[in-house]
Amino acid sequence: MALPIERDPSAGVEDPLDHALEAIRHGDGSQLDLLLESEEPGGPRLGELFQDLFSSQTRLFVGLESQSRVADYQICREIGRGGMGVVYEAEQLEPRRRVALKVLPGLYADEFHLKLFRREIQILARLKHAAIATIYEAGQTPEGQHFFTMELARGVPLNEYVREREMPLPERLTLFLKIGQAVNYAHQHGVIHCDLKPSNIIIDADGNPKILDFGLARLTDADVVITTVISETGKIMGTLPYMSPEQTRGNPAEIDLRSDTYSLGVVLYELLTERLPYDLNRAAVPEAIRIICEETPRRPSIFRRALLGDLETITLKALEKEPSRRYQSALALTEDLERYLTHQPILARPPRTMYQFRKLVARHKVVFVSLAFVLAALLVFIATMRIQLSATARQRDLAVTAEQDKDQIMAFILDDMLAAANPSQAHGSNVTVRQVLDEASLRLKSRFADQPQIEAAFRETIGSSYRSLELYDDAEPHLRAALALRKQFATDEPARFATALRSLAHLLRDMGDCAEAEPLYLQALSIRRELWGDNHPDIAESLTDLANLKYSEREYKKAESLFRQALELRRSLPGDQRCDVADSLFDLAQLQHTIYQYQAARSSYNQALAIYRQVGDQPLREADIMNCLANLFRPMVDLAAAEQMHRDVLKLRRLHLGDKHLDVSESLMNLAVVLREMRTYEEVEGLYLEALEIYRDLLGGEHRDVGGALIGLGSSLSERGRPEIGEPRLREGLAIWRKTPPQENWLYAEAESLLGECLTHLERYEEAQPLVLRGYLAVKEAKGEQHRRTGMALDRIIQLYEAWERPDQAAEYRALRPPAKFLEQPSP
Amino acid sequence: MTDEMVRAAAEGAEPERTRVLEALEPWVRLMVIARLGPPVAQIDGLKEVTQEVMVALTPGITRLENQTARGLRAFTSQIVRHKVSDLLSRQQKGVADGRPIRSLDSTVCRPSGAHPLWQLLSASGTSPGSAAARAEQIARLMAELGQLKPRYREVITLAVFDALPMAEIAREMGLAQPATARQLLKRALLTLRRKMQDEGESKMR
Repeated sequence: MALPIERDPSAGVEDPLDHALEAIRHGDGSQLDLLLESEEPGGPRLGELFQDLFSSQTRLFVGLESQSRVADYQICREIGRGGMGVVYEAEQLEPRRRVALKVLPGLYADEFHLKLFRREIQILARLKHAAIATIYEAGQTPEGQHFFTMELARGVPLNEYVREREMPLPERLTLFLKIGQAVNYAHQHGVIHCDLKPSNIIIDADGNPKILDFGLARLTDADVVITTVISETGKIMGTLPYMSPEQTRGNPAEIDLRSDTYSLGVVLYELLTERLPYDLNRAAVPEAIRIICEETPRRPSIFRRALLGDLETITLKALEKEPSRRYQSALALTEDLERYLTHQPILARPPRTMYQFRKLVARHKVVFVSLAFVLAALLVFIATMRIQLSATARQRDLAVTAEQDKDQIMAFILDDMLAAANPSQAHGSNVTVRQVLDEASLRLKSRFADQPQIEAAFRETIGSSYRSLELYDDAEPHLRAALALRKQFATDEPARFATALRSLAHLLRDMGDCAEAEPLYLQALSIRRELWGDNHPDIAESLTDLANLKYSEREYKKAESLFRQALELRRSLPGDQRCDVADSLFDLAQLQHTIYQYQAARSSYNQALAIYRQVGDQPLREADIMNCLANLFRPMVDLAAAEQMHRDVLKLRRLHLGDKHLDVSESLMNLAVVLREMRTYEEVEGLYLEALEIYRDLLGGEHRDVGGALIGLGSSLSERGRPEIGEPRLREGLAIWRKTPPQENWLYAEAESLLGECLTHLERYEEAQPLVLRGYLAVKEAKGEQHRRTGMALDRIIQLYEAWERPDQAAEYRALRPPAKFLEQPSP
Repeated sequence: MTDEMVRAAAEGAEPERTRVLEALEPWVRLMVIARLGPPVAQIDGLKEVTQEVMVALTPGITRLENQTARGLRAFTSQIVRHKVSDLLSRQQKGVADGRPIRSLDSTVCRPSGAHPLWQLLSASGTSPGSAAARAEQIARLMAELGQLKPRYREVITLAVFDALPMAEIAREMGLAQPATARQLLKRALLTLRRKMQDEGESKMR
């Protein structure tokens, strides 16, 4: 590209830098390179790169002008523009006729879009049907512009046509049948449209439909290349309100003819009600996808009473979430509609109660998954209670039989606990695990007033569930009550009493009341010793409890000794103790990691990992160990190993837990941190955003982990030169942390110092100053002067004063940097 | 583009005005790209701003006070800054309203991705292999430019992309002397060069 600006004689170019800049604009970047090289030898040749940049052809597509020519076609006007190309009305010169001409803009002419474009041509060439536009010609201009021409469809989009004419219901259905038949024709020729919607269906003056835009269509036969293209990108392509749940998930393997049947269902719904099945107006994309995948469509009869009955059943069957429950083809759908129109019995049936219950579970997957461990514990409990209560019934001659007890327990679980998850009850659809537990807590006492053992078991389960949600105040009364109930039967059931002691002790430890927890753990240990002697797995478990307690109290030496005792005991026990031994090694490794014994920690992690790999059926435990090991590689300055291992962990967790799990978000955050340290930012924001979405979905918008992800995202943006976008995220994260502080106070101050760094980039130095100073002091106090994070906080001060052009203050803080490299090591 | 052409365009001569505007458009696009960052997700923004600038320039050129190439350069730079700033405010407002913005800059550092925009910016006149490598380097250059601190990015954009003289850059950036602007530019270019080198080395590792 020739430079459009000629040298300006009045500029008085004297300085070599000005001269070099001027030279770039005249196609010579070498002068700038010489100049920069003389200042600082080595480095890329910037001048030449600028020169190349300016001389490259910026062939950005700006559209075709009216009257311009593409091959033998003269452009008349643009009639449509979308992600897959621009469509013009054009005049063909020979034979003379009006056509629709679609071009692929240069901007999109990459391999992926070209494949889609070529496939559309291939698909249209297969289809010859009155309701599908016929392709005429495909080609490429000498300038390289890809295009094809097809029959020009004249008419109005389906919904507009129906609305304008106020068509009665039977006519609408007849029109829909024609559309369904055309889709069925495409299906029979191995083509899935994938983007059926009213705006892609044009109705001509005679009332005949024409289906357009096969730009996203797929071939059902061996279209391996294209399948790969789509799966590689993982993109969701199509128009959201008309997309089937499997399309919104973006997995091409799930998409088949039934996806079109779903879209036809939405078109039918809209044709009948002039509304969409879901109100997606205000929903952001992830929320809209959730609604499509999880929520039940609004019944068409809500909008139009006349639809109640068969028409509603047909429409809702087409909109089933599971493809297997849907009409299996467009043909099946149109046939059932024909049956309706000819007053024959339709094949579709309304969903049954059991299926609705399964859908309830699916809709509240998070609740039910979170409750799974509660339920699992209860079911084990029921099995043991059956045996136990049979014996008790005989011994104490109780009136109720064991079977009745079991029924009572089941009824309590199903009627009282899970009832809270039913959206038809007062809670609505946003039920949480907490609500289920609260509901159970309220009803528990009255249900089992005269059955203390069952009540104790439920209280232990509910209390432990609250504890796992960090709702300690709610957990405490349950666990204390359970202990009191168990105490009544301590002589008969010492092992259960010991378990109740441990459950309460775990809670107290988590609440920071180690002094009260310790005697409970010791009592449990003593009971177990009396029961089993010194060599029993339960003794190792109790020793581990005590070790964890000491770890919480930062009495690392005592903790280490207890972990080692547990480890040795487990090693000495008969039978296959490999997993328990591995767990002890993992505990020990984490302790060593904490006290900076990195080599020892690495060895212990590896031993634990080797055992789990040998056992082979606990991939998630392996992932936990690998996660810690990867975190260990960071301070050991082996970032490449850390990155690889975090990627492996993420893969394992996704595979076994699905994409929406807190462990997955932990891995996403860890990987983001490593990549930032490596200064390879390509994926970082995507990782933070995905973690953020998981935290928000699973923990709610105000959880501290949401704050943490926002702070990570904001500081990363700021680091990458987008402080103006980073700042609001950092502030949002800090606002959450003010309400729900992080586990350690200094983290908040450190996050403020990150905001200070961001403000430095924005040149708002006065605002930045107190933040970076406060952050440094807090981190220094918590982690010690030599710690790497203290060093990073100090660097933020130095950076501020340098940018502020206050060299003296910068030097003052620079002098505080220790001569040796900052290390991860304990504060004095 | 000569001063005479600009003067004729400013005085309303249609062929000159068309030629001047045609010659300017690719430059306007580069000036916008430099400000928006590598615009994989900013393509809409790029098109939008470029169009707005060209729309403003079309009648604006007849009101040009300094009817020289240099005057037109400064005038164009001002319009570009204005329009980019408007776009960023609109996007910021999108964030404040809780709407996701497409730019985010999640794309800033994707130099190796063979996105069409980079293909469009690729160097010509060399073998396909070296052109690809060159395009990769240019992409990295733009990515690193996007990551520089704002003042550095601004001075490089004004000096290299907008081609403003040092005195004007100093005035725009509130610096006392053209020499200060020159110093700042030199520091910025050296930093950019270092960042590109670091990035290259880390990729080698």
